[in-house]
Amino acid sequence: MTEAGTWWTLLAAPVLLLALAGLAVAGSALLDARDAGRPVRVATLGRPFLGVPRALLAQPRRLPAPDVLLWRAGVITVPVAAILSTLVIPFGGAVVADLSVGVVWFNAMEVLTWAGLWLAGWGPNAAFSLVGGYRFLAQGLAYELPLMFALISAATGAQSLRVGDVVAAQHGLWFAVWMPFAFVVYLAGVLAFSFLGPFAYPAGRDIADGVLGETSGVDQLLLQAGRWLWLASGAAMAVPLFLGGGAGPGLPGWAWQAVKTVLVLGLLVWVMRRLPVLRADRYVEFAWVVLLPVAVLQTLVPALAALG
Amino acid sequence: MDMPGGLPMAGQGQDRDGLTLDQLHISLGPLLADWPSGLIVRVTLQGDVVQQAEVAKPGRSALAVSGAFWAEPWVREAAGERVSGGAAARRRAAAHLDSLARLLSVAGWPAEATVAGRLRDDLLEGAPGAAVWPRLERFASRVGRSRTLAWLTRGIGGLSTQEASDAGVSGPAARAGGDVTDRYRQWLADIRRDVQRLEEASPLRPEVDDSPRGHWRDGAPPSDALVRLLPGLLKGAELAAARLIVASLDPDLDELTVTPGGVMARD
Repeated sequence: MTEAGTWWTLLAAPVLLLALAGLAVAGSALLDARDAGRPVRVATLGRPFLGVPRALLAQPRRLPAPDVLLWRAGVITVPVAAILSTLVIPFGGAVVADLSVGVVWFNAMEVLTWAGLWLAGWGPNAAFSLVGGYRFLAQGLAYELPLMFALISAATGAQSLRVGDVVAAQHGLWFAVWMPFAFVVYLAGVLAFSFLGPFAYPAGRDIADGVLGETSGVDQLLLQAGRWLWLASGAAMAVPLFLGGGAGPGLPGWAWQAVKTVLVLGLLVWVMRRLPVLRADRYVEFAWVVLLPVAVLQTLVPALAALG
Repeated sequence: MDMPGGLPMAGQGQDRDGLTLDQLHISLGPLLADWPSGLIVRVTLQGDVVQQAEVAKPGRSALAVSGAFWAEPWVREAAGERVSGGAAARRRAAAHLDSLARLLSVAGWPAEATVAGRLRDDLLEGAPGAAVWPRLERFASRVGRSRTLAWLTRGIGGLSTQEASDAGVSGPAARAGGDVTDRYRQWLADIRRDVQRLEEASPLRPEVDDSPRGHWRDGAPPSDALVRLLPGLLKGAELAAARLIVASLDPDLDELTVTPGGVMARD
């Protein structure tokens, strides 16, 4: 059973999330080095983190007429929303806040990223970053509804919006097994709200890194951290939603949660490299004509099961 | 009225859907990641749709690089030197891999762009065909058969064989006779053919063996025609599609410095 944790879980959750995100960054760096034919050493894992002190010391870039307030607000929103989303993710038997609407909380935090990234694109008052911000809105229109139906599928299967109940409802059979489509759509959604890999469109290289392009120093660090924190948070949430949470033989709940999360994270990092960026102008059509109807049908499965 | 930062407000104009929208004038290049070096395209954007595009004359310094590296075997041949067909094929395959690396990067597939770049470097370093072949096969099938990449590049930058020959384009862009998808697949096919003839010792015959961007003639390097095509192809394209179109034609502006008759040097 999942119970609300004591005060220190409030500190432990962000630390765990940061560690997971760091693991994903290091893993991605490892694959980068292997592809580029560079020697793979322990130092390879640490390479991306060398940018952190550099970013902290960097001279901020000056732009003509930026909207500083909204820009800052946007940049900060992305990592903060990612951290807040972990409040409802159970780790073994403990969760920071056992909300009765946990699934909605996670979704709401993820939607905050919409505002955050759009403002981050708007703030600098520069063409490419603005295009990047708008690209995220277009991408959002394509991924958000299928993602919501994927979340609803899990909630319907458990007949509860409490994440602990969703875990308990998978006693015996994981939701990933009898709602595979919702699981896949959810994972695609995770990449989309992390704007990584095939969903890196808002930060596309073709528009000089879009929303990331005009940021420098700490701002850039926050946005980059935000996308990897979201990836880690999305992977962690996949476990209680679709993979039976901490259930498993032999090991304690927290260990199973950790193992499954790392596996999902590894899968996402691997998939990121296998696809080109999905341009929203093409992807929107696919999302609305194919993904959304199938996601709705998928939601019908647990709904009918609950009725019958 | 005081404008933020003293900047003027955007002007407005009719867009393709009959709406009146802000117009934004920006120039693409000369400094943009994975952009043909030295190319400057001034575009008028509404939203992210290119309403107008014109190729600007680059500054002298941008074209001060000596020689066209990718067309070098053909330049040397034209100067009366003897160049082997194998050496030319090697340079052409490397040139196409270089173009592919840029296209894949613009398409947002950095992992495969790295692979293309490594194959290019190995070819330039003189790696034997047999050493490159297995990796090339894996790369060519992954990229060439990728349904996702084809789906994302289908239907943009269409250029029929007829239009190409009217514009004076030769080489892979003309032979592909289609859209961005057809053009990168043409590159892949050409690379595979070229890598099989790296050891060919017979002399290069420029009348049948094209340079990477097309038929090499003094006074009209093939990239000249590609550059002239750009404004027409970019008009009406979205920014992301426009970048892909440019990357799939990949004009080499260094060629225009070699022969003085090029579009840039004329005025």
